[in-house]
Amino acid sequence: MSRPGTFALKKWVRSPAWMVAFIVGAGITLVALVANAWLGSLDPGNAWGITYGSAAAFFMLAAALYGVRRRLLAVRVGASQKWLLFHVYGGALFMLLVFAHTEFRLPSGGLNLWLWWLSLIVTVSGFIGIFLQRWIPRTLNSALETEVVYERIPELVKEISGRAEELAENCPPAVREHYLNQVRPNIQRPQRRLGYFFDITGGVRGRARDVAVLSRVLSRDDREKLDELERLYRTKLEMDAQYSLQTALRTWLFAHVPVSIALVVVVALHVYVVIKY
Amino acid sequence: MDKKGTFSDMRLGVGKDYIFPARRSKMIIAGVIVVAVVLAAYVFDTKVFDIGFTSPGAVSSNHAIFESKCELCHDPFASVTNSVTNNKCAVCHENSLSELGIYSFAGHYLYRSGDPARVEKALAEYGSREKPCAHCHEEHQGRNARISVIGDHECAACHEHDAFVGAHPEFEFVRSSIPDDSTMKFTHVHHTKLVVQRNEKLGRDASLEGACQYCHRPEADGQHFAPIEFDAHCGECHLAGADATKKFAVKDPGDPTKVGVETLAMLIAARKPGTLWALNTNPNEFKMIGPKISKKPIYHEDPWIVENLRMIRRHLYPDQGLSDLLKTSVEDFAGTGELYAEAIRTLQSYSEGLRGRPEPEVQTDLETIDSLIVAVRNAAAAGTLDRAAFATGPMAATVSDEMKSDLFDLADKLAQACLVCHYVEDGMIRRVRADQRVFTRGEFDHRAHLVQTGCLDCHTGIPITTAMTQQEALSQAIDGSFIQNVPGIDNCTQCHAPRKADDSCATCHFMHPNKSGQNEELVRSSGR
Repeated sequence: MSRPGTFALKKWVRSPAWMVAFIVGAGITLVALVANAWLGSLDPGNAWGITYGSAAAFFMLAAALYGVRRRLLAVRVGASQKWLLFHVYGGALFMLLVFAHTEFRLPSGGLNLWLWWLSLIVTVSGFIGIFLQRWIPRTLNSALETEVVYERIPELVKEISGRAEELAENCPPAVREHYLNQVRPNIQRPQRRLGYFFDITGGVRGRARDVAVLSRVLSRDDREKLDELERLYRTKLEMDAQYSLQTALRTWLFAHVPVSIALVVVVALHVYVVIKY
Repeated sequence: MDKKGTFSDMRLGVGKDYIFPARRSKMIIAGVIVVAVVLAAYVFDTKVFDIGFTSPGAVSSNHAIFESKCELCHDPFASVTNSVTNNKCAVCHENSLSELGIYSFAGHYLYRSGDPARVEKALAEYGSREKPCAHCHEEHQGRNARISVIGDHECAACHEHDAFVGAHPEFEFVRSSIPDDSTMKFTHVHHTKLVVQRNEKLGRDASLEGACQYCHRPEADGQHFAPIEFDAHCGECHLAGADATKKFAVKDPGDPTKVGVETLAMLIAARKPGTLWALNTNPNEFKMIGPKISKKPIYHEDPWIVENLRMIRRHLYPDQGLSDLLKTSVEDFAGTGELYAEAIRTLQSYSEGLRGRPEPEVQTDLETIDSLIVAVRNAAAAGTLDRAAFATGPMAATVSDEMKSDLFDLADKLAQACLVCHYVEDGMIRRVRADQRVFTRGEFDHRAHLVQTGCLDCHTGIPITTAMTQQEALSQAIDGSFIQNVPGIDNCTQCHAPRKADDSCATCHFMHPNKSGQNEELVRSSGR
């Protein structure tokens, strides 16, 4: 436990040592930039610019090794966690070096533009992935009562829908009308909504709000049926929340990995063109 | 429940709605597709469309015609930091017969100094700082980029003055107090008053600025002013026909001790080289008053006066070398080429006068003259002209002091009309420097400045404005032609300063100053 008045890095990052290493690396890059601007000029083609670019390429390749580590490396070197940390921090440093190499502005030329945007997409998608991997499990655990296996969500929603349909047939007209108009359209299949990323519980509660008004005018038996219907609807909405967030958790890699493969090849092409001309 | 396949060896049923995880291979395939698109673009660019996919940016419009031909400028696999060597640029730009090259650093070191020794000295001191063409003229900055515009930091790599305000030294002619060596007597204020009065009388622009431009007429480029010429600027008032010489004693061919002038008849009879003009001169211009002769009118560069002055000088200085062919003296500011050019013109006028004569000795002289002219032209082309050929030997020892005095007196009287504006020394009119370049290493565009300011706002060395209302003439010390009426750097920095008018090095200085020497003849002669 940290002493009062001191800054505990461990509270904010899981691996403070790696964060410090990244900050040192970024600091060295920025100092080099200042020295470069003082002594010469910011130019991707001079010795300084080529140094930034070479360093960026090194970090990019080293970070890319994380993806092929299990498949290609016969000998396990280091723990997977360390590889991942190097992948994350090395990737961040890679982007900083790319900015330094391109003088912190959009480059000109088709190939260079492709390279810049691919680098940015890979880095940003990586940061988004880190965020999603930290935030989604925590949110799902704390905000929702329903726990469900992602792959079974459509099947379970179908079952809920069937039960709700049976229940609604035995409900009074007011409840049945409410079910047909408000509930049925939203209970038949899983639905992904962007709103769950911003307010997961509010999204669920907001849709179930209308039921409270209706229950005041019903008899006790009818109220019980309505409560059951509401419980089924709420469960389905929570499954929607699970569906939305878990889809993101599973698919962000499709924005990250293909682009990073392309990035590696385009960097190789860029290096070839630079060496040739 | 409908099933979607089975799971594991137990063949457990999987629900129809079960979401199978996406296969990782799809990510690899997607990545390969993106790679294929990029590589296809590269291949199409290099083999088919030439759209410059790998180019880091569009080239400037001057080079756009061969934008897709990278090897015209880049040496493949030559260097990572600079594959555009000077040899590549020279293929089109350094099309010159000059050894130094127009765009070379050697050409820059020679900037207007004309001193080859500067090249070696500068090379020793700055050679390590020389950069290739592509370092300053950076391409691939877009179609509208002006790659000839260079930042001051490039100049500051060698020149310690990295700013105009505060760091640039005072102009040399101010720093060294270099006077205007025009060797003329000229009073600006007096003449300005006269021109203003004249313009008022003629209903023309009677302003002071208009008076300035009566003589200082801008050239077509607006940058410089045409040299002052007697006929264009002075002849309306000076030697306008009413001037006459004094009366001179006539030379006696039988008595070499008698000092006198040669008459028109004597010159025609003698048929000396360079006196063809005498045949076309009106004898009525000369008047015999007893034994003396006078001439009226007097012309500018009057040939009779010039020939008699030449006769006097030959008497005093038998060995004048080639300066005998000159009308005016040899001065430091006169280039060797300029002196030889005038000498050749004189020789050509001699040969014109002799061509019609059949005498063998005359024809021999003509051949000598022609071969001399050829020799001078060859020497000029080779840069081996010898200025020492114009040196004047010592005064003739046989001339007595009394005769010397008489000869100098005669020369002064002969040149009396000339002495209004000119200086005469040793019987010779001093050469006038009609076109003095004040800035030896910079350029000044008058037209750009006259749009916003007047002549007398900057040229304040002679108090023309305040003196216009004064009746008495200013002294020569204030109003002489030797006064360098050109402002110093303080005048310029009032406007050319940060956040004001452009104060970059290239505003006034050229890195490649002699590119006007790359004329079209050189281009044609190279076969391009």
